[in-house]
Amino acid sequence: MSLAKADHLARPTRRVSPPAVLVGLGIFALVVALLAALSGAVHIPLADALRVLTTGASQPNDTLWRNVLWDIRLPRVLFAAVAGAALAISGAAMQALFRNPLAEPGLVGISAGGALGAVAAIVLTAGGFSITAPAAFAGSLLATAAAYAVGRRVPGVAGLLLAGIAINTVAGSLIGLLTYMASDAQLRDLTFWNMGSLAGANWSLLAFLAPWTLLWSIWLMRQWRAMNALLLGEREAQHLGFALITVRYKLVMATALIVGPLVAATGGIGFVGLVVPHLVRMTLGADHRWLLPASMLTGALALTLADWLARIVVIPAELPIGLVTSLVGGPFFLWLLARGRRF
Amino acid sequence: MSLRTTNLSVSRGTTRILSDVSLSIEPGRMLGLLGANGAGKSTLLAAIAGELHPDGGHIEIDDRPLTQLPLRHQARRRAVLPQKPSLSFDLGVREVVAMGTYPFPEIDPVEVDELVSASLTLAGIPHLAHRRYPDLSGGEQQRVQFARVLAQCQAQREPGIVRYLLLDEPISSLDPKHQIELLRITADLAHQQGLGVLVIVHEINLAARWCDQLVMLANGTIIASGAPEVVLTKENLRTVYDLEADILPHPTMPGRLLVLPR
Repeated sequence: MSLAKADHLARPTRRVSPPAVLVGLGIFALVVALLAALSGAVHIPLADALRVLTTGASQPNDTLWRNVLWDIRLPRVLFAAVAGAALAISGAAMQALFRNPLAEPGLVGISAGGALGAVAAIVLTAGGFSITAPAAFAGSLLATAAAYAVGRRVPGVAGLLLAGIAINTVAGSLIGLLTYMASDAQLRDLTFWNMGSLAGANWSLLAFLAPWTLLWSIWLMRQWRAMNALLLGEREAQHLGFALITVRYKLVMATALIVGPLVAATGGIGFVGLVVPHLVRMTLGADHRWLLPASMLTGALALTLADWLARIVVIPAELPIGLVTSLVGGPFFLWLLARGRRF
Repeated sequence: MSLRTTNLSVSRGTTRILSDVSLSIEPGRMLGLLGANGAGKSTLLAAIAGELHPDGGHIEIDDRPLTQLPLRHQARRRAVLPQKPSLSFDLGVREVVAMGTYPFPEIDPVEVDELVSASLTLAGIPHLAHRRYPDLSGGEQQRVQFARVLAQCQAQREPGIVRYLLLDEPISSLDPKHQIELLRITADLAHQQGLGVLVIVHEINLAARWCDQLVMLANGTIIASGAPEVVLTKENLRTVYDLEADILPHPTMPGRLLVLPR
């Protein structure tokens, strides 16, 4: 018997109870969110935070605390949670679509298209969030639609993959061209855009993004049977009554609609969509009925944590969050691979 | 009531793989499909499974053209076990078997659990229930996949709807005992519950022992079909497999044949 086989036999054969994991993740995410909301350049004790939010200002620091909490921290933390959840569930959907644990939303051109739109807006127009964000959203939708339209002409999912690679290359070279044309100030803007940021968080953005993400995520979660069937094989999925064309279209569309506005609002945040579903699969297995909600919670948790780190490491300045996720996520991913576990 | 092909022709690229194939999978019968490698057996099964667009001819399920039936409705009447399942993700055995109930989303979770247990027992693998699928041996994985299609057949409970089961070399990785067991279970389902079964088998003697009818395929056309004693002749075996064999009456099973390749 080979060593690998012996290792498999030693693995636990029964997994932990999925609902318990979901509840645990939810509690953990709340605790981290609370911590992130209370600490930073200005520390706010928990009791005081509750007081200023419920009863209004009565002590010297209260107005400052209230403004920090209500106008800056809470939208920021919620935004991090929404973005993390959205990236993670989209990553899980793409991994099911491509039947490959290394897939992520960027594979079908969403991120590159968004980046191209944003860079074009920064270099060719006056810039600013109100132009950059819609341009990035339009870019990501266009890139994904192009990848899908070309990819569907080739049988199987390979067409979509190859079209996505081609679109990514084209978008990358156009970004290069625009970067070459950019002025010094524009260069600085687009570099920061690429590193991602949650600094654009505010209530009006959340009022759109949170329900939008939740709606499409719920819709995506309802497709868990189709995604499981895809794991079994494309032929097998058909034999179980799922039309591949329809399933592919649904997954690509939902991912583009979830990640598109997010890329527009946050810029490039890497690794969450790739690593989080892995982590969940290692504890819960690959059943999408649990993988999808657990990925959302873990993604929310991870990005809240990353954003908190980004804010507290170099107080009073802050690191770009995309830098933190890649800096922590990359080595962590290598460590996962080095342990040689199956996905 | 039957799942049948009429003058079916299928090409891949410029190569004609099946020409003029007509066969009928009847409820309560186990139909064995024999033929050399490359004869077109798997293509025929894929066509009946609704995966291919035939160049000519029709496929009908209970007198309705297959193409008129949405995939979900096809899946509620017809379960398919393809040759090489390629599942490498970490799923539990019960989760894999439960996939057989996906065409029936109206079944509640408790009932799904019961169906999964019943199918595992029927397939003779209740002891694998709590294992992870990728940790299993090839033969065990094949039996889990078999349990999955059994669950798909058992989940259809509407009276009057015939269920069909298509098996592509379901016993290729099994040991002799489990080969016989799987075929016995399948034959029992056909005879007792009225399933229409099409099974591709390479072991001629197992086909002769368990199938009610045989179809022999060579170069994409049917060269013989009917009861085993009609189909299994020296001439047919020579044509299909280029095999010289003696055919004897089975020493212990009356009415059955024994094929002894030289």
